[in-house]
Amino acid sequence: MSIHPPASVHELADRLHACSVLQKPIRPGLVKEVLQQSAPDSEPSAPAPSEAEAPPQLMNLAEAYEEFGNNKTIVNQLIQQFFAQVNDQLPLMRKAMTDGDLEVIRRNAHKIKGGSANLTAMAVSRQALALETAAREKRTDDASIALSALERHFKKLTAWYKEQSVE
Amino acid sequence: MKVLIIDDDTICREKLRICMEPYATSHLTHNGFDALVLFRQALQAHEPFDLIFLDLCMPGMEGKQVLEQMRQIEKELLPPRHQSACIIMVTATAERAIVMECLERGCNDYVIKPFVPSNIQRTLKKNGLLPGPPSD
Repeated sequence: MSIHPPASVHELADRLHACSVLQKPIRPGLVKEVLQQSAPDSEPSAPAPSEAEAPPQLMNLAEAYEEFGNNKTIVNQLIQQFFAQVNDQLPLMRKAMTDGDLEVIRRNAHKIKGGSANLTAMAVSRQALALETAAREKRTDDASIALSALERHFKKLTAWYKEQSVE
Repeated sequence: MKVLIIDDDTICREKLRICMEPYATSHLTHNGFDALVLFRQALQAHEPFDLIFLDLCMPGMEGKQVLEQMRQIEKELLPPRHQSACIIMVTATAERAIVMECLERGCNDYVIKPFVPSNIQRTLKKNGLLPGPPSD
């Protein structure tokens, strides 16, 4: 799962006497993980290697369509808008990195994290989360690495989406 | 049902609008200032919003301030014995202190981003805005 709830969500769950927290969007591997955690008496089973090692998907278009009421036109418009927005944000963040302005990086990374997750682009969302966290914790070197990774993942995502559009 | 969706993120606004499409007429805005104008106008026209989705983290005016001012406007303009709007905070952070503060300031519930449509339906049922048990 690429986005983990902060510790505070678990605190809230404790307060409500919930057994566990299942952060949405729900992915099959995460459900299994939560069920295993919620049954401490059962024999713990290691996740299948493919699940444990599977990188997050670039984007799950079918799921995105479903989440937006199967309105493909709107989803594709939103994806184009999101790409345009990130194309504007990445140079801003690169400049902010040079200027040492981690707050600008944190804000932009936060926005990219949310937008990408809502469009099921979980690989980009995961990198944006890493960048947001590093910027918030003022870990400049980690933020620089995370920004480069975000740029790479975003490039992959746009190339992949272009291929889907051609097909 | 009359709904006001306030979020600076286009994708989130649109997702909420689509989630609400079967149940309500949605009005959308990207900032707290415009939201307060719409909220006041609706009350003055005796056509108040039933439900508000309010993003917690927005530039200019944060969700907490908008929430506080909406409840203040209701005190001024909502006729006696009329039900106040159900305000649902939409948050990506879910920091306990912030969520608790919003509940204390008068929000009814919150949803965590990124959400899926069933998450919204469950919250609406929990708050009596849709029929059926929340676990459906």
